[in-house]
Amino acid sequence: MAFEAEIKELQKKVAQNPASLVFAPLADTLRKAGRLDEAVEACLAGLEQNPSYMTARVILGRTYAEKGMLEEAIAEFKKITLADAGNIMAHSMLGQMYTRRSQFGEAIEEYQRVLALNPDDAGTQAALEEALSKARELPGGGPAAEASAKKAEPARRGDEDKLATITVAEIYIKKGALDEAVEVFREILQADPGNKIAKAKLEEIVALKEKKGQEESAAEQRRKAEEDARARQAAEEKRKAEEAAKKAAEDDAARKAEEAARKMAAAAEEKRKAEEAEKAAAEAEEKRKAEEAEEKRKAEEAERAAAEAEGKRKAEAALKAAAEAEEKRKAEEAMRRAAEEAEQKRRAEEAMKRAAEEAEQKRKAEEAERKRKDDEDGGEKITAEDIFSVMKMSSPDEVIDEDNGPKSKPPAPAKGAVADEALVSQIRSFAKANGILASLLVARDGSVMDAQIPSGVDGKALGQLTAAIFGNTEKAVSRMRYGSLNQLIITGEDGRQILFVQLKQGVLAALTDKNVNLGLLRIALHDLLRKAQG
Amino acid sequence: MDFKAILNEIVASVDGSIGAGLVGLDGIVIDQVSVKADFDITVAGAEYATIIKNAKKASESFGLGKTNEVLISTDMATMIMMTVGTEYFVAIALALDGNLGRGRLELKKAIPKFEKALS
Repeated sequence: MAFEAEIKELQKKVAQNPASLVFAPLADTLRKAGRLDEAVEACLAGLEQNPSYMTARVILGRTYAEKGMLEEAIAEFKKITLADAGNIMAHSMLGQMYTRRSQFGEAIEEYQRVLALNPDDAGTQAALEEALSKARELPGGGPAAEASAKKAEPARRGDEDKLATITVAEIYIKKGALDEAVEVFREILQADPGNKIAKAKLEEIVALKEKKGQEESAAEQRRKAEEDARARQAAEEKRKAEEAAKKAAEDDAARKAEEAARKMAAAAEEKRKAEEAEKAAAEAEEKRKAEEAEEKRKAEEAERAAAEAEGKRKAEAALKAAAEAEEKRKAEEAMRRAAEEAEQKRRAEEAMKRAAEEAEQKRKAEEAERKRKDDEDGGEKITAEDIFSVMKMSSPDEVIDEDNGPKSKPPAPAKGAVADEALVSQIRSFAKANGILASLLVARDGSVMDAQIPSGVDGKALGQLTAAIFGNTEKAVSRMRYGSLNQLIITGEDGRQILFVQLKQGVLAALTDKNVNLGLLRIALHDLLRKAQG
Repeated sequence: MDFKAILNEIVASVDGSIGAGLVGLDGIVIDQVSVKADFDITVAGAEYATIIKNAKKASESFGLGKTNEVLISTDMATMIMMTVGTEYFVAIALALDGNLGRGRLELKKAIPKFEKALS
């Protein structure tokens, strides 16, 4: 099996170039593989093309020997020794062939030729000794062997120079120095023109030179062709390699570009994803912040609302407390006022009742007197006294004003309520100039400081009534938050009016006629007030 | 014509009007018109009624008979009240520079209208 592949390879080469020398290694391999017939065929076929190829003949001889075809083997080896007398292998193989055919004399001669060429060949020496030994053992072989040995000895000595010369020539041939070999053979033939070996060798060398020249030429051509082929092949391979390299480079560039594009795309995708993630994170952060702000706002709103509610509650509580306090104060005030009013009313009613009783007594007395006078005078004159009688009030301390008729004597001022003479004078002037029928200047406690009233009218009661009316009105105005009361003018159904005016020292009450000019009266009052304020 | 329309007519006709109202003698306001926010006769109605009652008492005590009109001057305003029938009165508040005469006139003109509306 080991030779099969080699055999096929060699057969292929032989088939590709039948003239080549490859048949020799093919035949030798076939021989080693045991395919002896095919080896013989290969050698014979090759030697037809290359008859001087001694190596092939050696292989052919050995193949014949292995096949037992000793005759054919000896013939082939002899062809070799004829072409190359110094071929040690051929002489050795001939020795072995002759020994196997028990031709010991021929065997001894061949071994001796080998030893002549290589005296130190121990194997050949042993083979020679064996051949000599076997020759002696043959009947009559002792002398024959000796003779062969002796024959061989002189021959060897006689031919020593020739063999040496032929050997030198063959050495030249082996070295390739054919010209020197031809020169040596020619010298041999000059010395021994009958030397067939030298002659055959010379012819062989000349033929060999020619063939070699042809072969060299052919080889040169083949070499050139092979070089050209190799060059073409190399160029082709180089071109292919370049193309491949170029393609590889292009592929590599494309692959790199694709890879770069892919990486860029991947990077862009990663960047996009990162940006998206960042954006999403930012949005989430903003949303979170917005939610936090919203929560904070709501918390603040709730806190503010709570604070407002608390403030409102406190304010409401405070308002409620204030309202309650105010209500309480008002209630207390109202109770106090009601008590005061009730007291004043009681006093006024008591005074009025007393005044009415007195007035009734007085009226009756005056009526009786007037009746008496009327009876005496027989006239019906209407005096100012009649007007003041309407007031249904009278004073026991009646005085008569010479200018305006009877006037009541002013009641004694209360303690601490001192009438200002200048003011009284101004009031009287005011009253006289503005159609004032009666006037009363009272202190805030109701005590009369000056009275210009008809006789029989209870000035003290009127004073208390005036103070009560003005005081109550003043309080009402104060509760209305319209400032302090200055004037109070009451117009009755008949057109007469009662004026209540706040003066420096008290309250002035004045009764006007029904035809009085209210506008002028107010101006006069204003003037009086200005004077009274000093 | 409703009360507010009459009151509006009064207020619109009198320069310096602060407000006007129709009030019962019990102090309960029938209707009112305010020109200034600080005038609320609903709150002051009871005080107006108190003043009217005092005036009636004074009028009777001083022999003036029934009370027709009450005029009050304060540091801040002038108020005129006129009785409407036996149970009501109409009041107008004027600024210190308000037209007092026009105020009295418009109230007098309005009284028959109120009396007609109240009857």
